[in-house]
Amino acid sequence: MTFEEFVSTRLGNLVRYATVVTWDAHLAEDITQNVLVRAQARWSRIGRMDAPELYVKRMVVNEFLSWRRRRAAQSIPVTAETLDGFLPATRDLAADHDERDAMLRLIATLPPRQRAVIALRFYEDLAVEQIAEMLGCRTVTVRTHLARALATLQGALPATLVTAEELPR
Amino acid sequence: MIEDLVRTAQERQADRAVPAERLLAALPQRAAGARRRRQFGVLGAAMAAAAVVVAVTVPVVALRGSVPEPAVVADAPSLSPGVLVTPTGAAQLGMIAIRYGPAWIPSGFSESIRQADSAGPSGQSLTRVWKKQAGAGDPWSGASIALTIRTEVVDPARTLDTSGQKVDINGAEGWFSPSRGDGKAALAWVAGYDTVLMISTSHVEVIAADLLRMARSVGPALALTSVPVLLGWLPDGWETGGVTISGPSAAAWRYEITAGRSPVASPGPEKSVADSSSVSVVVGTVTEAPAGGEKLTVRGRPARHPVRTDAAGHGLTYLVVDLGQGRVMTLTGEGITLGDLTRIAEQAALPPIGFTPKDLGWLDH
Repeated sequence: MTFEEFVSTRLGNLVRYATVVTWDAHLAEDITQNVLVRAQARWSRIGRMDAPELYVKRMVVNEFLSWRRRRAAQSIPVTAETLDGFLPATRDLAADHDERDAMLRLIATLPPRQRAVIALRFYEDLAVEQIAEMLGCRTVTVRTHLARALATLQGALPATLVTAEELPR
Repeated sequence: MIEDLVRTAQERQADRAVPAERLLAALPQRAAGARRRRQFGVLGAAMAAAAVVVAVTVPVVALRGSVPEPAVVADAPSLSPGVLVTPTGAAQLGMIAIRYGPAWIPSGFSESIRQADSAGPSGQSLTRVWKKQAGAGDPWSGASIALTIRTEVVDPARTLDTSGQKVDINGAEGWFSPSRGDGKAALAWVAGYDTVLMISTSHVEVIAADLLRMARSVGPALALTSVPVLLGWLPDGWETGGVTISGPSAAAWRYEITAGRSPVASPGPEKSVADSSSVSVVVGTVTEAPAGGEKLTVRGRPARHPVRTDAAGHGLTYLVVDLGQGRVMTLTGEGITLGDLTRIAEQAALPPIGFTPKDLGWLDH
């Protein structure tokens, strides 16, 4: 696959993926462009890989996490109590819509690495082992990020949205 | 289940992605920007890995059959010292076919840049840029409105991102993605069986009505723009890349041509650095190369070879040639020797000093 073929067929998916990983459409645009510029320069090697798209997606997530490291101050720890402020106290007539909006806002508050992990797990449907390889960490670390992310989201959502059997095991 | 809520939220977030069309159109400019930052150290080492050239064939030399090849000289020393390669007439200059243009643009903007790239992924591209201010140096910073014309696009309707707002452009279906407070808006539509047009803004908020008005005023333009500088020699396996003409006036034109190793021609070993080999040749009234350097004589003219010692400048080779009467040629190379850089400079075809192509009048507006 040439670089041109890759871009023409996969760019749409790539920028959507980057938007889910970064949770910021404009940061995703910047990161995707940076990654493509770098990938083009190395395409003679990347293009020969079995899964060039996976490699480019790995570049995207690494670029995002590096970017976050360079701007660590933007990662603001948020307590569950604070998160409650994002949510309606009771369900209203537009409850379903609000629930989805609540989840959108809650995911935005997750630490970057947890957000990246849930993007790879649920948006990309990658196995924990694949995520570990992609992020260059151990599988136990991925499982920890995943559990913490889900616990945070679950704890912050209104009780009406989460049933008992969904609690993390 | 909470996983389902997460998945639903992620799908909704993915739908917020910027149009791939907009990203694609900006890619050549981003690549050029990355290379410039690498060359001039604006962002230093953070961008060091991003140096790249869009190593594709220049798409824009129209009238190809009737325009002689650049002044190709077999061996550099055969040029007479002190004499620029002088085209005998306008017919020897390369030409860029403009193809499309707006009849109306928002007030305060004037055309300042024409850039041609063979974008590869989606055909050839020409970008016309209107700015509020234009300087003699690197032209890309600041507020701008761009019209990108992509031709030879296979199945153009399929390349449009349809996630934005559907609009009518003189009977054609267009898609508008408004700015989200970042000064970036885009409006794209299909203008022919193989042509996609896009108007985009950068660093400026332009109201949707004005962008629509501009888009609806776009029609065929038969104008040509001269390419006053051509490269007569490149290392084996290298190809000419993007071409950019800019400047504060026609008389003070600035021309940049990039070239690099063709991806096809790359040997491709795992750790090869061949892919990042590139050169930028700028002829203008100012240079952005570092000061000083070893004094040389190139084309019979005073030249210098500045050396960067900072980390970001590692691996870059500079050559600055004083062409006289306020004209300077700056060559910035990566992965190329000073000898080859000198040969490129010696064999570049340049117009006579003081020559201003008549069709650069658009820079005077």
